[in-house]
Amino acid sequence: MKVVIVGAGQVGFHIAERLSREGHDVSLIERDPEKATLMASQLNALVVQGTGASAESLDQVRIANTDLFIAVTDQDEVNLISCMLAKGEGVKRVISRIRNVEYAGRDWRDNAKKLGIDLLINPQRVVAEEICEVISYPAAADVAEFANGRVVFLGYKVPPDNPLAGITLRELGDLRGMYRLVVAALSRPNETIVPRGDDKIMPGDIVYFLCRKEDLAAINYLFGFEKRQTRTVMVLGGGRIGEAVTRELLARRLRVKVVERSAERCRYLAEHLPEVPVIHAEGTEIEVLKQEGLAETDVFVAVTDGDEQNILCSLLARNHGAKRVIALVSRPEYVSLAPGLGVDACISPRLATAAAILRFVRRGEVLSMAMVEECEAEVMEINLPARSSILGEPLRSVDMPRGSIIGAIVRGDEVIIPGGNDVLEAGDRAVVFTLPEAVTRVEKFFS
Amino acid sequence: MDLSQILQPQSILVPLREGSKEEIIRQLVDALPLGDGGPTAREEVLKAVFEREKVMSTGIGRGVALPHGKCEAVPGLLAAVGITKNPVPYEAIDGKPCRIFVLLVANPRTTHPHIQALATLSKILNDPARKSALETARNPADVLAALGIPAAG
Repeated sequence: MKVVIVGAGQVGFHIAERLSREGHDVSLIERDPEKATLMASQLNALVVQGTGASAESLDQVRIANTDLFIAVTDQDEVNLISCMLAKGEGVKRVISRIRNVEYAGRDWRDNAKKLGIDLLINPQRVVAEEICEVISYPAAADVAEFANGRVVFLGYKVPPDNPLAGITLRELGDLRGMYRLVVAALSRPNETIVPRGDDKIMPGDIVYFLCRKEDLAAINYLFGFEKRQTRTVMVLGGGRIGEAVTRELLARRLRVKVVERSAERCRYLAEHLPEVPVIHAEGTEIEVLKQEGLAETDVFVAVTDGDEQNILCSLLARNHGAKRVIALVSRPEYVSLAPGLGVDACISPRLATAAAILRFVRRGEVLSMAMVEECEAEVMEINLPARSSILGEPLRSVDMPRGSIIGAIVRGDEVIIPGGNDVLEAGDRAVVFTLPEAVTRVEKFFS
Repeated sequence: MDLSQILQPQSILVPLREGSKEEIIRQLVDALPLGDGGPTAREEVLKAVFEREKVMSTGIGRGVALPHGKCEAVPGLLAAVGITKNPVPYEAIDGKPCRIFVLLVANPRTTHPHIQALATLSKILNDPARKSALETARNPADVLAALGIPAAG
């Protein structure tokens, strides 16, 4: 597939790297000459210095034969114009990132269609949705749903006193009759593995597993991950993301308080969200937050525009009684650091936006996809080919690419959490977990 | 996992009296060596097992049920086994009636052995040869032998 990406920011770079690693023909257009040179040295891609909104740059990347065009500069207008130009040149699918809410509101969808833009991605909305999903599974570090919500993918940190600590995969496999789950991965400080028989779950691991949603209550009973319900949330940062998160949480009937440092922004929030208490304070003014009930707060979410601020304030909140803390973290280096510090879940706008774009890219045989923040692994829901040597074989003798595992099989109305004796059939869909290095092989394997 | 530590011969009921799901579980709980705990302890264990049963049936299919629960009234980990002459309805996940019942109750602090014991028992009960040995067991010694537990003394 020929892919053109405009804008070599965090999202653009991430997607370019990912898609070129998977063997796609990637070109990148970047305005800043210095950045363009840097990209050319770091990426296996054609890098053109210029703007995506000019015919010259588009000529240089041979736009006419492009399958996919992704505009992710930090200027909405440039993204929109580039996309329109690209569509005019016959590009099959075009994606534009839009930060301004006025452009990305509901009505805009119709306009996007008129302009020929296939997908508009609003990072604030993507992040807000992801934060709310994580909040709805109180103890989870990672959450995604598949097969129309019938299959869940969850990641939990294993405390030392958790019954899973010290259990081998073989022992878990023996429990299949009653507790059906497939452990997809164990994530440790320096590695993430797809575990097998004798591998042991260790305290401190993040265990990622897939199960049927209806089995979740029983699994939870035995392993005791989710011990409390979420009722109250304190949101630090009343900017666009904070507002979007608050609206989403209100829709889920949670009690929300917003803490915001700017008086002007506080007034705006009070006017637009009259049912939400807005506290004019800094995230470090712990006495004020305590008076506002920090110690009784189920979840503290820090979504200011500073990574350090978000990490620091969420740790502070945790020290003063917040039961669970979630931080918005943009810098890739911090995303892997934060869990070790005691932040329960990290949401990265870069990864969330990139995941939303990749989901769209993988449209076709791949129905749905989620990215695991801590290890950049993917979970994909894939339509199986009508003919393939993998059909009809018990899974134990199917030679899956190293670093991948089938976590669920969807067959009509039935969801199977497979063991070694289960068999794939034509027409099935498979939910597959794959480490980043195995993505290409997995896509080939199932095509 | 060494099952001999958690399963006493007097907690093995062959035959187990046929009855409703509740009657089956009650007989098994009554067979547990709860020591000084007395009737209150038994009620608490019953409550814990029924609570777990409400979440999802422990009838794991092919005629086997593994009711279990976590309860403070139990000092560590205890098991009881019962086998009925005829299969009885148990709301099992495959819809089939059950004959073999293994009860496992754990103190909330011994959850790790609890899971290992559940895994060991699940594995044994998945083995067709051991399962049919249980179905033909006529006394506690037969049951212990079928479970691979050496006879005492």
